[in-house]
Amino acid sequence: MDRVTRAAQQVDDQFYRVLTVLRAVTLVYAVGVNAARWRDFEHPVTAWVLIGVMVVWSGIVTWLYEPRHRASWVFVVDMLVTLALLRSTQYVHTPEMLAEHTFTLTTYWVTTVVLCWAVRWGVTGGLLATAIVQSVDVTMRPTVNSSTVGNIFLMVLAAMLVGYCAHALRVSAVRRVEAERAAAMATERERLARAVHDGVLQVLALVQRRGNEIGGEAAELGRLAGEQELALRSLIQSRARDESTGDGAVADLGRALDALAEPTVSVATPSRPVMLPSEVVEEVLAAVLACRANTVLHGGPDASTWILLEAERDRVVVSVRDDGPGIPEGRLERAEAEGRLGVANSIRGRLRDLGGEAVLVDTAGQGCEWELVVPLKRVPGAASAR
Amino acid sequence: MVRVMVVDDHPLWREGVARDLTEAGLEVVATAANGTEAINRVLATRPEVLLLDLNIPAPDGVEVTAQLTRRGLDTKVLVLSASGEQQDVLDAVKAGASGYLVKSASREALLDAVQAVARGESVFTPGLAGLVLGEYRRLSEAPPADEPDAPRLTERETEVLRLVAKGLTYKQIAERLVLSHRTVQNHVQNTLRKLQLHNRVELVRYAIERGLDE
Repeated sequence: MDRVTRAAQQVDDQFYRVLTVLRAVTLVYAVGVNAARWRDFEHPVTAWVLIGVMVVWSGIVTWLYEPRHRASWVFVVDMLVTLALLRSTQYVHTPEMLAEHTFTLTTYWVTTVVLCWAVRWGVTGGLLATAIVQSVDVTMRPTVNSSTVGNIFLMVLAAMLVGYCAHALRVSAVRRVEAERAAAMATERERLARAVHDGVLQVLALVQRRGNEIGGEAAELGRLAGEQELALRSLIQSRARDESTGDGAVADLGRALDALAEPTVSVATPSRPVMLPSEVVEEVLAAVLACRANTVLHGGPDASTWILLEAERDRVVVSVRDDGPGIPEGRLERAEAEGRLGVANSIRGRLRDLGGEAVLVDTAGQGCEWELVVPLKRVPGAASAR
Repeated sequence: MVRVMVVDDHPLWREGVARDLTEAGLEVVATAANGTEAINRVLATRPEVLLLDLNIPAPDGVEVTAQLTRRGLDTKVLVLSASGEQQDVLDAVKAGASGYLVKSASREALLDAVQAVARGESVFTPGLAGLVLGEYRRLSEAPPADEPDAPRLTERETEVLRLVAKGLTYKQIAERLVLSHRTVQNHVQNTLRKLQLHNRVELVRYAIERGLDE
């Protein structure tokens, strides 16, 4: 038996356990009611024999409803025995008792089989069982009165309710098992993907190294392998961080920066996600790309760039450095005075809009280094973002 | 001659690296393809440097590093990782690894790193420096109840580590901060040592709390 069927059956088992209790309780009630009025019966001895049959059958049928015997014929036989006992009321009772609609010999005990049908065959089964039981009951009465109608109404309600609940619980149990299975499969796929990715990364790294050593066309292959290696690695890293992103309005700046990694661009980020409002992430990213563009403009596509992300309690700092010639002192101011709003201005403007600043660090002749500072307090929604 | 052991589950890679090391005049005393082999062969051959892939059949690279550290061996661990899963790299370094390189690093970079680690230095990529900086920030922002006695970086150490993360070489850092190369090296190493010490204290504390200290 697979896990789905088993989950549905566990729901059934619980229902039948409850119905077993119900059967016992209604049996005690039936015995009590009949013991109190046995002198009124037309055939008291037969009545006691029939009550004995009811007790014995309750035991047998409880055993039959256990999971290993529980087949459709059990439900049918249970119904037939119950109907026979119910109908025997006609023989045991006096005509006056029947006319007054006093309790049948079986009293509420007949409800159990109706509810068993409802669990087995849903609302339809429950209503069918109600119809059978009530027609057998009503046809032995000379008249129909309000208590008959009331009994029928209550039994219809109970049958519908139990039938519906059993169905709904089975469906949800099956869905839960299927969801669990899907989750387990996803985890397993993830694990396999890791192994495969790791293997691919290894080979790409190897091709890159060997290609560079051999030189010529192999070096070109190595370079291509290196680019793909980085692309795959940032994909894996971004997926690892995906779990921590939820709300669409916030994004992980670390992940966004990791995606910029190339053979000439090194990215250093903390292992924890750095969650900021999406528009802030986009602006910071645009500023970083402007820094990188500036590096490429002055140093060519092979110029190296290093990006560092630091998340402090009240601010985020992104450093972007290159090892180019740097920016001579006063050049930016001169350019601005001449009305040339260059890259530097676009970087500063973006950060100013975020309430932060872009600082050109004095590197003592070691290239050009920007520090982009975004204060967290002045960014709307940032307080809850981290 | 530096005695090295190479651990990697990819034979192609393992042999390639071992050949590079041998050609460069290093002695490859053993290789291993999984964590159990790695630990056993380290104990048998006592290499100076263990070149360790993190993604190996169990116990994984982080666990191997932790076990070797627990045994108090002199072997230095240099992590060589392809996927660069950031948390794994950070965990390995906290567990006692002396450095980290991505597998696509050039042969020269690899040989330099092995030599440096053998001399007792730490090998930091800018990426690792960023992770370590982030870890110290996390520790400093955690409530004191969660992280008692958390280590702190001095201002100088923070300064040096930030420059490493920005891709400066130790030589460039020494020039910029007007320090000796050796001093820069010491600062970098201290940042790792404090983190590793804290990690071990935490593990012992955890073990005592759980009654596992026997």
